[in-house]
Amino acid sequence: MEGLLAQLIVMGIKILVILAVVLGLGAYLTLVERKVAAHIQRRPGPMVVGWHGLLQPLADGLKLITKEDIFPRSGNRFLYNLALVLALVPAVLVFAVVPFGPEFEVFGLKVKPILTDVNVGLLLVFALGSMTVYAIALAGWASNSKYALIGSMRKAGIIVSYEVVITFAVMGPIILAGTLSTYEIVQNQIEQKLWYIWLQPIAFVIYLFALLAETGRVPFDIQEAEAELVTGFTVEYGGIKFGLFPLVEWYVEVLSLSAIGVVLFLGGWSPINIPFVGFVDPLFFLGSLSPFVWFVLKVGLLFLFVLWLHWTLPRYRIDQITETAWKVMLPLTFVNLVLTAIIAPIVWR
Amino acid sequence: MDYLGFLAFAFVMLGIALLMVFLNYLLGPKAPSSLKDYPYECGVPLYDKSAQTTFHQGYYLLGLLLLLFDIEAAFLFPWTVVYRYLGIFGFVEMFLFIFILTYGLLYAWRKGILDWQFEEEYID
Amino acid sequence: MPWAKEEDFIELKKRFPSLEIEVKPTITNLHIPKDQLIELLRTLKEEKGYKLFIDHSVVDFPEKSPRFQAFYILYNVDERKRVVVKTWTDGTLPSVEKLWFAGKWAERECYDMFGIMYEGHENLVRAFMWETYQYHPLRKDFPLEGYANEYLPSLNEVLWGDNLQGLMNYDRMHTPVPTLEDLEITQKRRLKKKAQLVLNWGPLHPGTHGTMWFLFDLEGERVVQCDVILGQLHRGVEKLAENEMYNQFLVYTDRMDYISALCSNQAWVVAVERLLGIEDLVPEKAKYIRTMMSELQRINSHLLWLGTYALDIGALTIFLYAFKEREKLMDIIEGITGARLTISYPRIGGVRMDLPEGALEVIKAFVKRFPKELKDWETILSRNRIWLRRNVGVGVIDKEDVYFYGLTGAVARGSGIPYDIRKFEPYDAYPWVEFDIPVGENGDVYDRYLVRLEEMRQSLKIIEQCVRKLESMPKSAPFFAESPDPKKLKLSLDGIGLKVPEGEIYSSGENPRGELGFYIYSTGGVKPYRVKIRPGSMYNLCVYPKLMKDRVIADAVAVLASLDPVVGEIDR
Repeated sequence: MEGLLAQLIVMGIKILVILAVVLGLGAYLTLVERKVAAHIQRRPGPMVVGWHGLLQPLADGLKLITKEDIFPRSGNRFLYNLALVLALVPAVLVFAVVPFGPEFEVFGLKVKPILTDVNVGLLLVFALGSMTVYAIALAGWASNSKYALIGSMRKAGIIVSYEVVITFAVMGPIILAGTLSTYEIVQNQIEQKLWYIWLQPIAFVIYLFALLAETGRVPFDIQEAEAELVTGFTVEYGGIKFGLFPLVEWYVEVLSLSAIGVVLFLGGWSPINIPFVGFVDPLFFLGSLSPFVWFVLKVGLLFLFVLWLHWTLPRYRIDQITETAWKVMLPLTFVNLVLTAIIAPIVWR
Repeated sequence: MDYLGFLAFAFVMLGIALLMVFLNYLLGPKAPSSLKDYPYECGVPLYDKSAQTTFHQGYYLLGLLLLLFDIEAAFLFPWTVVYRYLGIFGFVEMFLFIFILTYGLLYAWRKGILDWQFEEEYID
Repeated sequence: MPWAKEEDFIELKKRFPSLEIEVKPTITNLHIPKDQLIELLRTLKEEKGYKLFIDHSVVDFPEKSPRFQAFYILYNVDERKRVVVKTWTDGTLPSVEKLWFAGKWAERECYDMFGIMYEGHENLVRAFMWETYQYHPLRKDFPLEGYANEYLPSLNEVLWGDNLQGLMNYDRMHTPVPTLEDLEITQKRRLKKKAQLVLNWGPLHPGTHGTMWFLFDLEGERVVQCDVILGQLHRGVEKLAENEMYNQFLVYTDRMDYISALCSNQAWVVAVERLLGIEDLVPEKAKYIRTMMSELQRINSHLLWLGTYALDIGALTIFLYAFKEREKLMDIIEGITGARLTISYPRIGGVRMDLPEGALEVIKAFVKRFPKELKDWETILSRNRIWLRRNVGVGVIDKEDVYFYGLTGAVARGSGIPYDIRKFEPYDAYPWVEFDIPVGENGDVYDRYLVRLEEMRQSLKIIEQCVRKLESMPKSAPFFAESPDPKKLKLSLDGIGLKVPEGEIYSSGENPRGELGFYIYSTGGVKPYRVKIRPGSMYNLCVYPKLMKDRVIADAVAVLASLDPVVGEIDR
């Protein structure tokens, strides 16, 4: 009984931590993006609200939740709201399988900083990721507006194409790791003293592309092409519903997919890696906090890379995006899979 | 046990999402006017009254392709997990499987499913 | 002078016995009766080489019979000659749609403004007003204030029953206002739906460069047909011109193409000076100042084009970099002229005031810094893979299309035709400065982009030369013309009392957007009888439906941005 109660409390704390991190951090990442964008464009960015704009996300959130709830007159109300739920819930649930650090001990209890350590963790990730297509397609259809429909069909086409690409791209690291559990993949990387990125550069690059496309980021953000379709499938949404779609797409999903990318390719919470030799930890002075800091640093690095691309590159056209996915990236993933299957036994010996 | 955590998390998130759905209705002002809920068409009247007409079958074909490749991925996942123990037999099997997959992709490519955005159709 | 001589048309007189050739110093007219009009135009286009369509409109003489005098302005690019074909009609004309597509749009405008019916026109709809509008505004019997016959109370009265008395009491009768039904009828008559969905890429949209209303007939992502509804920014400038003095009309010209205001001002001022014949009276300093300011404004306008073009394609940062440079330019222009947007600095006879102290140093500093910035941006864009994939091969215009659609400006130069009014019919200080004209090869969007970038560099070259010349001039050099005989020709800075003799002229200037032309018909007096403004953007835009046929919507922005329209000029 004792054990059960303790486990339930630990679970509760984990849920709260993940919620705080994801939703809170997601909101503050909007500020980070605006500041980074501003500095690339040689201007200061939000400076008024709070010191250097630190209260800006709060101000935006407050503004959005107090807006009037306008519903398009010929829309389908149930699907309209369902789309929002289907967008938000699966995107955040991915964080349930993300391991933030190694197992540690507190009050005599062994705690793994991961909510759901099951041996099909990665499958859960992709299952949840596929639900975004539902959200987008339903949002476009329920709004009953041509702009929404065209935007959502385009977006759904892209996400569907890149789902396939990402599924095949991650098979390389899975072969090397031999398990689908995210925690154990990181453990295997630490045991083998090898970040899988050294053996899987092609897969990593393809994974990055697929990350950009799935989350609707430049150069694949035809959704946000204001010049063409204003805001695409969110054109009939208002208030916090409108704010949630980009929050989920651009920030929460980028974070979750970057976290999975770090887990798969960059060794999770391990410090800097010299292949086959060992790890070097410049942050050793942080003691047992060091793995968590490394994880955050790596996810932050991927996120900043995504931001950097956003504010520098122009965007592709829709047919160029789907063409690239099926004609270039998918064959590359097949090649990668075959190569990995050949190289892996050599590595294991 | 872990799945219990997942389920609990799912319920919490569902609650938050439902809250978000109704938050604007609860907190926002209500001032309906005659044209406020007119669908967005850049400020002019709609040409087609409803947008829920048929749309191009190219999207449907992409969805079909997704279905095929996802099922094949579902078959490949268990193979990748136990590859370590399968030896050369596993490799050859997988190679044949992927070869058939690629053949399917090539078929779709040649049939023009991936180029439908620029298809020349005869419309009169 | 670029007007055709009489000897060019001698052999035409054998074929068209009723042809009359009238050669004046400011214009060359060919008068022909209506039934032989199409034949003459076809002969001029195919045999004589007058292939480029410049303009077509109508002058209303209500007391004469037949009432309307129609004119067609044509240009021969190889021999650099211009001719005007005139005919008289009572209300119908044959359509030149088969000869020039640009004529189709010009005819829609004449139908709208004058009520002329064109036989053989494929879809004769109104160009600027809505379909159910009853009047024809540019006729002489239509009053300037319009007919206020619609009861239009204020919104406060309708919604909340405010009854305003006393000082706030106003006239509730208003000129006709379109309702939603009118807009619906307009769009249904414009485009007959052939494919699956019709999308209104409408006036209130952040992607169109102004309030233009596009209709796309879509099949999935592909555009099957496309049409443009204009007139959301129509202010009736040509009607106003008949009621304003020549110098008063100057302030209207910079509100038309508000981005390149100084160039439009210069074009009008040069047109009136040519009509008066006082081009030699304008002092040299004024000419150099006008040229320099025009070129600064050209860089300004191209920077705006670059910023919005990159923004539409997705490179959001270039927008802000370009606007930063624009701020510097506008500060310079504000320091010299006093205004940033609607400038009205040139005057008929010179400029408004002299350059202030330190202006030339600031301009020199800008000219030194700017090429480096331009090179920085080129490394982001010109060799970028995504940029190339979005722009190369998109929106290709070939040479015959340039003549068929009446394209001018960077659009024509991008397709390989070195059409630049600054070289063909030089005005102000352009004969005395050296510069090159960039010409493209393929005529796609990427070529037009490169042409405009290179034009910015050439403008810098011109500015350098002007600055050097202005520095060497004495400080007390005059900036405004002195009239030799104030009784006959009164020239003053405010233009009151400027009488223009009888005559007509067509004169154009090279706007950053194309050729901005003014056809002035004057019957003596202080106010013109008819001013027809030839907007470069409108004829550049009429190639858009052809370019968008069978393309994806995503190209709509790229193609539109490369044509660089400004609605103020299109709608006037």
